[in-house]
Amino acid sequence: MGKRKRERAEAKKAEEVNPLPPVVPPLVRDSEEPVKKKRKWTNKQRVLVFASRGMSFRNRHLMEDLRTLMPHSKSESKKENKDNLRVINEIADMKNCNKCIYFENRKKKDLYMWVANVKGGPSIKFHVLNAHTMKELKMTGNCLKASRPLLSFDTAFDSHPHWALMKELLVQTFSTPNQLPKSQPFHDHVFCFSILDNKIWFRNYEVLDTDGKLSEIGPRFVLNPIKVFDGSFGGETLWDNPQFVTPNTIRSLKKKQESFKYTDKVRQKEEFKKRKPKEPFRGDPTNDIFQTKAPEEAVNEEKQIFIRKKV
Amino acid sequence: MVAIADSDSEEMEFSDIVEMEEAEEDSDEELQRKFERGELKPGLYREAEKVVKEHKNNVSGLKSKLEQFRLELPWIERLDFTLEAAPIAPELNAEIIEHGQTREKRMRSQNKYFTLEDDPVHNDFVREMSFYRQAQSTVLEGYKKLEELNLPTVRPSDYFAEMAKSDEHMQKVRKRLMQKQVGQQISERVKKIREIKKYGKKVQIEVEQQKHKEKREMLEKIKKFRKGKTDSIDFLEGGRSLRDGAGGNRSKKDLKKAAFKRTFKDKKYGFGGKKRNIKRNNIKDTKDERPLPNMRKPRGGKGGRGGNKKGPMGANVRGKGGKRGGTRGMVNKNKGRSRK
Repeated sequence: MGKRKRERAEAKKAEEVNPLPPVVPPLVRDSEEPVKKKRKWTNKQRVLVFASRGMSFRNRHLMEDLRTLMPHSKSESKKENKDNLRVINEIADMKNCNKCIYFENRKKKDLYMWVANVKGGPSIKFHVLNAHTMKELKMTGNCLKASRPLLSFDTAFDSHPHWALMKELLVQTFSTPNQLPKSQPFHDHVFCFSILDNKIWFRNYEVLDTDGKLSEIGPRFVLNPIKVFDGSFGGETLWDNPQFVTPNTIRSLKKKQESFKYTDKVRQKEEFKKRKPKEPFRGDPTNDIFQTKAPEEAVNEEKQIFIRKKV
Repeated sequence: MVAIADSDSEEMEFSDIVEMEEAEEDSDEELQRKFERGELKPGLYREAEKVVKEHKNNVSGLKSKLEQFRLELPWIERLDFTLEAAPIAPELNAEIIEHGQTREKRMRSQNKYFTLEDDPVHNDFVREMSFYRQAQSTVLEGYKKLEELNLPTVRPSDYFAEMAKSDEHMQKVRKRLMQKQVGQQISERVKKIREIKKYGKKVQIEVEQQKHKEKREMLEKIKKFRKGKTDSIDFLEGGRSLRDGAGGNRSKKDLKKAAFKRTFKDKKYGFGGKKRNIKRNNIKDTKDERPLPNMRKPRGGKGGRGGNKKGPMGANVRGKGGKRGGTRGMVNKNKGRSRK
C-alpha cells in the first residue's frame, strides 16, 4: 500500500472510531423550499449568569469561567443592590431564561451564589468559599468551549431529601442540553460534585484518555448551602442548614477572642494584687536543726560540728 | 465583675470576694441567681421568652417540590452519574504515602509536635485524590455507556476547535511546567555533584593517610636497622624490587649508559676525588719526549749554564730575570719618573 492510501485508510479508521456528527449541508438547495425545522433540541434550558455590584476580581473571573463553560448561559449587566431579589425573576423572563445563577456580593468580602429555577421552582442560596479560577497556572487541563460535560455526584446526594433536591437543580442548571446548536461533539470534561463536611465541593477535570486519566481545568469552589426556598428568590423556607455560621459572626467572634486577651490580662493582674503577701515569708528557725553539710565542704568553725566518724 | 479591695491591712480571700458580689442586690446576674434559688417573690418578675433557633427541615415539602420541578428526561439529555469513588490505584496509593512521608520528614525537623492527621497540606492532597477518584469512576462508566450509544467520547489530539482556555494561556502553562522540570533537574545534578565531591574528598584523604602511614613505617624500620635492632634488610629489598618492577621496561643501552655514568662519577669524585696531574713513575713517563711548555734558551753570563738545558742547574734556568730578557747586568730602576 502506498503512503497516501495508508493515510486515507487510517483517517477512515479514526472516523469510524470517533464519528463526527454530520453537519455538512447539502450542495444544492432550492431557495423556495421552506427550511426544515430541527426538532432534535428539546430540552430548552437557558441559564442567566450575572452578579451584583461590589465584586472582587477573583469572583468576577469565577463568574466569567462559568459563562465560558456553559454554552447555554446568558449574561446580564450588574444588578443594583437596592432592588430586591424578586426583580431577578422579571429580568430572567425578559431574557427568556428558565434558570438563573446570581452572585450576590456583600461587604466586598463575601460571595453568595443563588441557583434558582425561575418559573415556580425551588431556589438555593449558597455561601461560596475557596474559589480558584481557570486562569491559575496550576490548572493544566483544557477542554472544548461548548462540549457537553459529564456530571459526577457523590452517593451522599441520595441520602437526604434536601441533597436530592440540590442534585436535581444542579443537574438541570449545569448540564448542557443535548443537540444545543452551539454545542460541540466530544465529552471531554467532567464536573465533579462531592459532599464533604456538609458542603458541596466542585471540581472540573479534563479527560485525557479512556483509562480515566484526568487533569484539572478549573474553576474550583466550595458551596456551603444556607437555605432552600420553595419559590424562586423567595417563598417558604423548605430547609435551612443548622451548621451554617454567617461570615459576619465568624469575624466578630475572632475580634472578641482578641479582646478576651486584654480582659483576661486585666483580671489576672487584679487577682495577683490581692494574692500578693504584704510581708516576706518568715522562716521557721526549727527548720535549721537537721541541716547538714558534707564534712569536706565545712569551713573554719563548722569543722568541729560536721565530723565524719571513722567506722 | 470583681470588686477591688482598697484596704491595705486586710488580705482579701476568695470567699470574701464572692460575698461582696452577692451583696450587690440589683445586678442582673444577682437576680438571675436568686430566681434560680427560688428566692424571688412571684408577681415581681416576668419570665422572658426563650429564644431557640428553629431549623426547618420540611421533608415532605422537599419531596413534593422535587417531584414538581423534576424533568423526566432520558439519561442522554442529562449525562449525570451518582456513583461511589473508584478504588485507589496502587500508584496513587504509593503517591499518597510518599507525600505523607516527605511532609513528615520536612515538618518534624521544625516542629516536634507535628502529626500527619492534623497537617492541612497532606489532608488537602488526600481530599483531592478522593475527588479525582470519584470523577474517574464517572468517566469509566460514562464512556462505557456512550460507546454503547455509538457516540464520540474522547477528543482526538488533532481536533481543532475553540477551547475554553486560549492558546497563549496554554503556552504559559507549558512554560511553567518546563521551568519546574528544569529546576528539578538542575537541583538533582547539583546534589549529585555535591555527593561525588564529598566522596572524592573522602577517598583523597584516605589515600594520603595511607601514604603517610607507609612512609612512617619505612622510616621506623630503617631506624631499627640502624640501631641494630633488626638484622635483615629484607624490607628494603622488598621495597627495591618493587621499584624495579615498577620501573617497567628499560633497554640494555640505557642500563649500560647508566653503569658508565656511575663508574665515571666514582672515578672523578670517589675516594677524595681525582688528584691533579698525577704522575706515576712508570715507563710511560720515562719515554715521554714531549717538549716542556714555555721553555726558552737562556741569555747572558749566567747563561753559561744554558747550553745543557737538562743539567742539574739547567733545569732551573728560568729564573727571575729570564722573563724580562737581557736585563741582568743593568737594572733600570725608574721609580715613578718616566721620561717623556
